[in-house]
Amino acid sequence: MSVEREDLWQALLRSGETIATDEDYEHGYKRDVPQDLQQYVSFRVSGEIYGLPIHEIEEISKVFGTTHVPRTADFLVGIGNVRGRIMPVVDLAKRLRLRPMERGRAARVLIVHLNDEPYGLVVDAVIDVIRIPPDKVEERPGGITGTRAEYIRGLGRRKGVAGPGKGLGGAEMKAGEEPEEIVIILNLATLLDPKDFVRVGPGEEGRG
Amino acid sequence: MSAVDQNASEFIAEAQEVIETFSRTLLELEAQSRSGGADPDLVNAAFRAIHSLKGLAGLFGAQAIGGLSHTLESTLDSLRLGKLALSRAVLDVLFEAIEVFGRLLTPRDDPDEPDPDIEPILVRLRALTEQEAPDLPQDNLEWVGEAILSVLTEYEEHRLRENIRSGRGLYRVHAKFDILAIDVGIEQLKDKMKVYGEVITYLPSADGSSDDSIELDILLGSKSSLAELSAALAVGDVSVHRLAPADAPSAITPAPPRPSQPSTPAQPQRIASPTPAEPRSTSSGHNGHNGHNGHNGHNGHNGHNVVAAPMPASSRREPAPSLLADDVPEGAGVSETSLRSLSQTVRVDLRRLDLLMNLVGELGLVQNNLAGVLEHLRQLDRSADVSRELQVQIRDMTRKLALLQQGILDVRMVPIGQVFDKLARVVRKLSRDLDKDIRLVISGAETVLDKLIVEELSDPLMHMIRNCIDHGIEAAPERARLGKPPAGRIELRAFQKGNRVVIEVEDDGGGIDWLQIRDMAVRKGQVTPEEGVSMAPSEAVNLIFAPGFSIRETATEVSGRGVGMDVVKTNIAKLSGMIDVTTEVGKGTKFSITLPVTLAIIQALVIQSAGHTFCIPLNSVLESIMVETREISTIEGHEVIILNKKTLPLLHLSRLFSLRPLSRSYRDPHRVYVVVVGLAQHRVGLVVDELLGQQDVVIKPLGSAVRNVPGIAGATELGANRTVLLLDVGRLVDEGVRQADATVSIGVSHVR
Amino acid sequence: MPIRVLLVEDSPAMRTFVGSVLESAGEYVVEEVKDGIEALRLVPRAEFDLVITDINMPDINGLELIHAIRQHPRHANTPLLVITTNDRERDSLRALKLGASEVLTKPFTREELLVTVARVMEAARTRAASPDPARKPVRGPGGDG
Repeated sequence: MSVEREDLWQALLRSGETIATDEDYEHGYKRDVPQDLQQYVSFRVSGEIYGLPIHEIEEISKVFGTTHVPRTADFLVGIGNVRGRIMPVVDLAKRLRLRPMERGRAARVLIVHLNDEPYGLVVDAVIDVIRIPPDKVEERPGGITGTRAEYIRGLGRRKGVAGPGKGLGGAEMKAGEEPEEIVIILNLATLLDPKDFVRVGPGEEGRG
Repeated sequence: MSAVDQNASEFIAEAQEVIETFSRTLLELEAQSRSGGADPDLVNAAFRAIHSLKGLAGLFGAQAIGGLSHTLESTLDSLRLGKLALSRAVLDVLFEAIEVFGRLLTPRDDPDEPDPDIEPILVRLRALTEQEAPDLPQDNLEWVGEAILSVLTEYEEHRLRENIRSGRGLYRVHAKFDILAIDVGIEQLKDKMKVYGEVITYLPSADGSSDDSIELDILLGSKSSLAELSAALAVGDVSVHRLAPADAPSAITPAPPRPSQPSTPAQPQRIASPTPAEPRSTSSGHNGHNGHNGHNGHNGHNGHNVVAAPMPASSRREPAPSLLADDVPEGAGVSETSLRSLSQTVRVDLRRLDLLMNLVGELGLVQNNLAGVLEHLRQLDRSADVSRELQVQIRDMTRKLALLQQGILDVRMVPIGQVFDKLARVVRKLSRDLDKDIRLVISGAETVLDKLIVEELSDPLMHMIRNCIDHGIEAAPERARLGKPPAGRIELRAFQKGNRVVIEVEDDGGGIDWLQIRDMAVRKGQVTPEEGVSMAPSEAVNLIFAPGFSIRETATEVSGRGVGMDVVKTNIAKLSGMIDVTTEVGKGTKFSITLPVTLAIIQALVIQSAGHTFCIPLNSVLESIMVETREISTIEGHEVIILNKKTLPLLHLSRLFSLRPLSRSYRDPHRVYVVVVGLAQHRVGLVVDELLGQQDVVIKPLGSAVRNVPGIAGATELGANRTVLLLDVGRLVDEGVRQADATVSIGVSHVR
Repeated sequence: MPIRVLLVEDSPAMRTFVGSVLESAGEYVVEEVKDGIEALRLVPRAEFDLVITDINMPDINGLELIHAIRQHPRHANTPLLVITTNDRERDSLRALKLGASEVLTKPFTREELLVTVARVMEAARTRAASPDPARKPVRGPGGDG
């Protein structure tokens, strides 16, 4: 396995914790994550690959039930309750204004921490843990515009699945060739800005 | 949290505690200095507090705090050594230092923002030391004996000199303690001795080398005679010996009687020893004041005025003075006992308590499961014995779980005195800034409330006090003209009433003129002229709680734009509380806040609308009724019903929240359920599909992202991990009322 | 053989700092007490190779403690290190007169603490090897009890 790619299992092994099984995930396996500035968890949302620093992610859980909250933005699925802790659960596809895709059994909720509060991020699938040295993280290129840009901290690269198939930019790959994929590293602080959560629609004041 | 963050938050927590202690001590010192003299033990306590803060800052590398502590410590050292007098100016700088500490300890939103500048306060502190009196010629203390003198620290030696100068006799109390019981023994003896004077130091005795006992020589400065002291203290292994006669070489200058007005600023006084509390009658003769002779200073033989301080710190016979001499608040605490009780408390992170509560909740689930197993067992196993045994155990567990839950809730309870202390500082500052003399009377500081509630109360109470001092209390000349005492009086009261707590803020200021309010509301268009005419005084006064209402047109420097009572009301409502006001023009105003004792668990009414389940705090529910649809009238597009001869505006929750129906629920077209909710004097009927019953629910805070959704107050757990939103009745009532006010209709009486 | 240290200090933060610095150095075992009375309880009963004490403590201050310790036959020569704040010259001198081996002023770093302790222990060892006749045990206050 290349130095840069390791899957979640390996990362956990290295951190000295016991491996979590699917069953653990069901009940919410939690591990203490040491500060690691180079490792990122990559995950898929609407066909694109995104990443978050591993120390911002507290737990990876299967999708759980949420309670809808009125007068909030559409990307807020609702509030969820994980072992007694209440947290807002955000549909990342909607938040990033991507075309939502059908979610299957691979869907997960990343439980992250911002300012000491937990949030859940719904993603289509969790891929693996990658290591990107700080100097290899590119600043978000000026080319990316639109609201999505504020949520982007930077870009990293990751070796994709070996071909044949399509690589970066849609070019055809030969068998055995490992294409490079871009991982968009997200900025939690802007992604989860409290100001964006509340939405009182027109005519929702004083009408009933 | 990373390791660094953990350390930082521990440091901040400890530092804040120290500063709280320091602040309380200063407030007491200030009160004492106004009415007599400052207790040297208190000054020493203040010194020790900052000394420990300095050490703490050094260990955690907190440079700004360390630097400020260092300079502050020197100032306090000068105070305790008598080199600097405790004047109002000095106290001002000390209180300012507290504010600076507060700013330094507040976590900053932007980590790159530089620390607040401490240079100005440092300059002020250093300037104080320049006021230090030159060292006075020192008495010859040779007669005390080199043996004793050689082991006294500089501070202790200073105390010794002070005691002698004030004409006290020096006594050596010799005591022998069993090594196992020495803690208790010393405390008891200490308490006894403090009544008679000041304990200067404890000297281990020369022959204290026995393996199971420790002998001490305690130096006591006292005005009592050897006979009196022996009678009181010499018991068992304790003996009293005189080291110097009571009429030591220093003149006792008779001082003029104390002026009756305690609230005029005290002139700078030196820290001098307290007279014993007991001979109160005789001390009125001694109760000179310190420096009111018109000069601060050097009269008499050694240049010290005679003292009078009301009472030593740990006197149990008389409670410590409040901020103002004649009021005795409960729980204002004696400094020494309150410092001691501090060490018996543990600082608990509320999050840990939440964790514990969660565990209790999960244990509850396990218990349910066990009950299920029991059922199963009963069916399978015909033998009743095992089932019965299990049942007994489960019942026991249920009981203990309930106790555990209550125990954890109790841990969350803190005395409201925490907030009252902060308010006392605010009053002090405002009274200086606005040049209005204020007497603050506090009672019920020991009343306990959920910690979250107490924290949330801080802002609204501060708002109210600001308003009161700024707009309520008149300026001195006006008060004089009205025949009121020169100092404005503000009373802060807290007491328990059933399962609620009432907090009152009452002043003797000018009161709220309902006519003025009504006219202003009409002028601003918040109320129509017709409504204004028919408005009763109590309704008009409650207009101050309307959003955006303001008595003053221009903001004053101190309290900003006007009253801001709508914010206060909203905050109180968020705590499931209510606020009420009674006022009389020219006499004063009283605000009354009623709160549930604990926020964590409340009784709620569970309802359903469009398939979504919500909870309403039962406190706010006036009644729930079933209403035939034909009883509903529509006025200008808004639905109302007549209930008890009054019009009740109706709010459909499903429409208000734009709820998408979650399930196809059968709704009877002919009738609906209406939950009548009210806050203070307004009522609204919430139209819902189903009433699902009442139950106790555990309230959970919503994170910052979802906290501000209008109409939602929090999340509750209905048990079995079912999360349901709690409605913000205050907000809903507002929306309902606003809608109703938009209705203009002849013949519709004003909403009550 | 680890060096047994008695640490007398009323500030918990200071106590933790000194205690942990010494213990992590490896050669010391530290017993911490928070005031002079606790210290006096231990003095007759336990063996200490070194006493470290603060001066400014309530009730029994450091000077009184040093004095009392020196009275005890077992501890006439035990190395005594005194911690003091930096502007207390008068107290530091008194401490030395009463029999303290050395004075260490706050604030100090780990290194300063370790070096000073090592120095004090070394001096004690040298003295034990060749006792200085000029050094007399300090006399106590008259026990007119």
